Amino acid sequence: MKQILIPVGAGLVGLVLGFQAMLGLLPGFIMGKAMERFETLGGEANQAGHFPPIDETARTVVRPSPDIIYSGCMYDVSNGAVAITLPALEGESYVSVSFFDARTNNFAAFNNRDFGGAAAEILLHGPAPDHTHTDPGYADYDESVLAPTSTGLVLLRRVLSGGVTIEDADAHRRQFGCEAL
Amino acid sequence: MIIRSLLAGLGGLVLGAAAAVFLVFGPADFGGVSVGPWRTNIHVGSPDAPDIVRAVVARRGLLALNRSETIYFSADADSEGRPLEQACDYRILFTDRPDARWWSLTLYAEDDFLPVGGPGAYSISADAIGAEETGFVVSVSERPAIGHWMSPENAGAFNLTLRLYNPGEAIVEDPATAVLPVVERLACGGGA
Repeated sequence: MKQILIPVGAGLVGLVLGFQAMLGLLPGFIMGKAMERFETLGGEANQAGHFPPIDETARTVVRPSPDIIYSGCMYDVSNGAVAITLPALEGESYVSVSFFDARTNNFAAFNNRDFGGAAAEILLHGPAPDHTHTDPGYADYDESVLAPTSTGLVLLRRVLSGGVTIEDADAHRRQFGCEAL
Repeated sequence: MIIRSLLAGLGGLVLGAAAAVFLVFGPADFGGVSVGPWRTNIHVGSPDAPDIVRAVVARRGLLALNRSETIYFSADADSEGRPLEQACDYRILFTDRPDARWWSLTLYAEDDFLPVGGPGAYSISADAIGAEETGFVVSVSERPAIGHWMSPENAGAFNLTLRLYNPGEAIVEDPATAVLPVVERLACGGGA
């Protein structure tokens, strides 16, 4: 009996461990692939990049919205904080910056209403290498955000609403900033 | 017995990993809230999401915003539960404007990307709805229709995503209370 129970138990333990381990790995793998594709479009760490307007040729991320133009930045806070700029936008239209860690979690998001339509400077930082939080100058920024992982993505969404032309929306979203400090 | 146990453990690891891949890349959904044919997942983007939900969302809705910023309702069936098909015509009946700062309705092909090679009529947004239109209809058909129209050409077994940007507080609190459109199937394959 023991000769059967022990292998069966080992198999069951392996089953649970394999299941959980794969679930834990997949989001990071999928995010890594998305960041690789972002790099092929010319994206570099801690620099703003601008995706072409969305049409049927868009294949970087599933379910893209053709009513939005996107910019992005692969952040890396391992060597210091990164300053993110949300462009000013008054009125009813919508622009936002959203922050995704290496496991796909959306750990922060801000839109133009949060700042009354004014431009905003957001400090994205990680814990210092010694795991203490040294002050990178929080007071100089409208918001500060702690990145749960040292790398990830910041995504700007600019809604094409209110009769804005694609050219004007494109010029506007290019004010999105992402700069290592 | 030690070797047999090691082999069993190894086999279990492989099987477990394969089961996880099957679940994430398969058709099953987890942790969703339903309103008619529309489904959303309240854990989208959330760091508190269970592992299985995070993995499924990473596969199907990567870079989606959390629900306080945007709620995504998706439908791959009509209001009677029949899968959406390119060969059929549909009416999507909004009794009122969605309760959100801005919204859009987008049609995706079965690969979850925009349909290729069609007329490019794959989205309707709040901007397209006139101020006088409280209730309105969006037609989905391969043949162009009068009014608000989306084409499923080359989309196969398509799906719809309704995005609500900065949704009303009640929907954020409980997405199941959202008033969402009925998806009514009309004719299929040119027949009644």
